[in-house]
Amino acid sequence: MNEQKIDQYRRDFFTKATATAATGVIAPGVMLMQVGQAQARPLDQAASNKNRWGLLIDSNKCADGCSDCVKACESENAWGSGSTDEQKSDAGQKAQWIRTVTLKNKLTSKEHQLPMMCQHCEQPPCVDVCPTGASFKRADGIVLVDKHICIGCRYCMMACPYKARSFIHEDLHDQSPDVPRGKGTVESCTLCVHKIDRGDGTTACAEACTHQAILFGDLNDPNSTISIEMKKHATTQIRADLNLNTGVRYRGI
Amino acid sequence: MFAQPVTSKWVLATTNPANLGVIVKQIRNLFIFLTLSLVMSGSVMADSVGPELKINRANGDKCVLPADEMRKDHMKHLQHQRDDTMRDGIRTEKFSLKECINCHANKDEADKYIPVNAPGEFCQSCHAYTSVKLDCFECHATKPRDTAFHPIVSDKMKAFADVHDAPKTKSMLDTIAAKAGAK
Repeated sequence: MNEQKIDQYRRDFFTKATATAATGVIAPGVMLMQVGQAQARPLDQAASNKNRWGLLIDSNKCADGCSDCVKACESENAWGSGSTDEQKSDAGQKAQWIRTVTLKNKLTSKEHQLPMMCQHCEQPPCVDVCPTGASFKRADGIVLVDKHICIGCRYCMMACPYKARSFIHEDLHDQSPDVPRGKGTVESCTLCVHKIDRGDGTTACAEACTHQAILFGDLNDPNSTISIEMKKHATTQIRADLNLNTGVRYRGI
Repeated sequence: MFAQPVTSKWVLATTNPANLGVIVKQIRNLFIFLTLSLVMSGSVMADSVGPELKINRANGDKCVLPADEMRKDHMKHLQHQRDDTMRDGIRTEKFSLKECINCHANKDEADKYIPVNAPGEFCQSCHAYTSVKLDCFECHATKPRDTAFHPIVSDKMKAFADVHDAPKTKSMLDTIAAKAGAK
């Protein structure tokens, strides 16, 4: 009984929250990030190829030395500083779903940084090489690892041109209920698939970026903010020569 | 001439009259055993078989299916749901492992959750009794956790909550629910 009432209360709260978010400003100096851009899909309905989720990252806006996106990913998905696990693994062995990369122009010596994670390719090499079918692409373009059938061979880690995947070397105990992870399996950015499925319409990194450098949205929807931005500005795919059609695009590199 | 084929101990015994007394004894013992088990079966209910389970009735009195079905088939349902969730993103609550744990994780005296795979806890007690290895929790969380938001996000949520006079903590939500329940 009580549980139901709480749920009802939460539902009302979030309905109100979303309605208000649409107006943008909720208090002087307080801006809510755009919520509900992605329509919540009913819980019992499968993800479909009507959507293709992606990110647009503006490396000009990405502030040097800032790692808010990495920290947000860690606490949302319970890896790195967001978990008490992986104490025995060294830096090269530890989980890494997202990292910041600094680029330097050799002519001008100008340095700038950008976040780097799974690029959610349309033609993912990690899926091509997986011997068990554990590495797969969901209908809505999210590339995931099915840890139930992953045998930990790490072919996908070698195949990935973006060095986006990592392997878990030790027993874990401090996982998030939404993000199962365990020893002997490969993992990478899930594009916060649990948040997408519950209709949050954003990812932890996009939510946490105070510089608005990360924009989440539906690449298949011509009216989504991400599509409009990509029509307005020149964007790049990293290693576009591989013809992977990545779901994560960059500006300013 | 045909040698009698020896098919069992019984045949062997019947061929030898000296063993007749043994057979009578064995038949008598069988009768006693059958009678006893008939008498016992009336008093042995399914619920008293196996370990005593710690079930938190405060979370509700009913599982998603009757207990005998869950005992037999919980893994079938979980496995079906697992593929739906993993491959298609279908996250209905009925057979979700996360919901099992939300309901079946118990708290200790310090009001902290005990992992469901700890000795004597809901999942582990039966699995230890039947000596079936419990693999789920090599990857899945063993206790509920309030959805974690990054501090940057939760600060914004707090600001929002202040403006809209909404409850900020779970205990406040519980208080509201308790009041509503009292009415």
